[in-house]
Amino acid sequence: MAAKQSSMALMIPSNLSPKTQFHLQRMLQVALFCAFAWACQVIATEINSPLPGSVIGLGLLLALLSLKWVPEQTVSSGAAWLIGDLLLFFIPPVVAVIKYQALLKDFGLVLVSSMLVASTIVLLGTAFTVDRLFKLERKHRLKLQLTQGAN
Amino acid sequence: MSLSLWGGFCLALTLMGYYSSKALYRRQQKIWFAPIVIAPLMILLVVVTLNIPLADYFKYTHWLAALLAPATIAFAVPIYRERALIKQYPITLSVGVMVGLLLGIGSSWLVGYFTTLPAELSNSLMVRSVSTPFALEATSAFGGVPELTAMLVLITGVMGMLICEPLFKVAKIRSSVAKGVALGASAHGVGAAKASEIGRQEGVIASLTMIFTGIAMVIMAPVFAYIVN
Repeated sequence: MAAKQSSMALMIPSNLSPKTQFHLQRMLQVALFCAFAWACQVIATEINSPLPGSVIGLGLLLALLSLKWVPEQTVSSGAAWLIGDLLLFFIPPVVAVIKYQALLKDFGLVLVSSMLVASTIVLLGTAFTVDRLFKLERKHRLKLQLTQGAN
Repeated sequence: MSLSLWGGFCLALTLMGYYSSKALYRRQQKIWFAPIVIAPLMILLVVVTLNIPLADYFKYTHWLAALLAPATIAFAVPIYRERALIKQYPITLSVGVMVGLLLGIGSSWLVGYFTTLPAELSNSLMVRSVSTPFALEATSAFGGVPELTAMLVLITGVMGMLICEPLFKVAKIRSSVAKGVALGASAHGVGAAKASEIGRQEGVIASLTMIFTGIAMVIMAPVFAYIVN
């Protein structure tokens, strides 16, 4: 595992404690994610892409990982930090909702009660469909395995 | 000068509010102490009580929101890591994602149809069931407002987390795949966190569903917006 460490790890002095090394590496990975996101955004604007740069970047990174051009451990701890602290990044837009205080005061109750009904529909509808479908797909897989085993 | 002082205060407030609510949740594992509930409420309360102008609040905190794009890209890693699971149940997952997405948009459209909500609210509702970074990208196609969208997405997530267990019980939903897909499709990241409390498999499936639903929403938002209008 240590031998397979990325070249990125080489940039971090090895006389630091393992914990500091981990934090430094994670920060470096997050910085790389930011640079990549910025580049993708520039490209998306440049080519007038209907898709936002972030989704293009997601597709590109998935392709790079699948082709093994980018080893998973060179991005995994940075990705875990970005995803784990997602809430922190959208607190500012949520706070900005005070611009619409009056609107929410007037319609808050209608909004919340109708959303409750709507969420129940989504949750139950999806769960029911998937429950039935999953049983079918599992049966199909088992049948396939059985016939393949027989041959 | 005073602007940058307030700006610094607001950045510190946001960071401290977030990390202290995380620390609190580690001690008190109660739903009402979840950072998704406590952190925004706490910060909103301070901003409102001190009457801080939004421009000051955004002076530095907009850098936090800028991290939403790299976070979106980071979702490639869990997709890659769980590729074996995706290959195992491709039909269930993709149909689950599509059904969840259509129900999410359809149910939001019904809310707008049956209530007299003003357009900026009903339009912002359309993307409420997908994860925030995707919702913020997709909402403009429907004529939604980013700030309202961010809050409605958050409320949807918390609601899903609160109602899922009694609903699953009443509807006799037992398979972990069904629970995971339903939570990921209806309550995005909050649902995924709830799902991983139910079980590891549920959590992974909910995260994958959340990511795929988000991507599908961004890609298809213009089409859906065209149909809905």
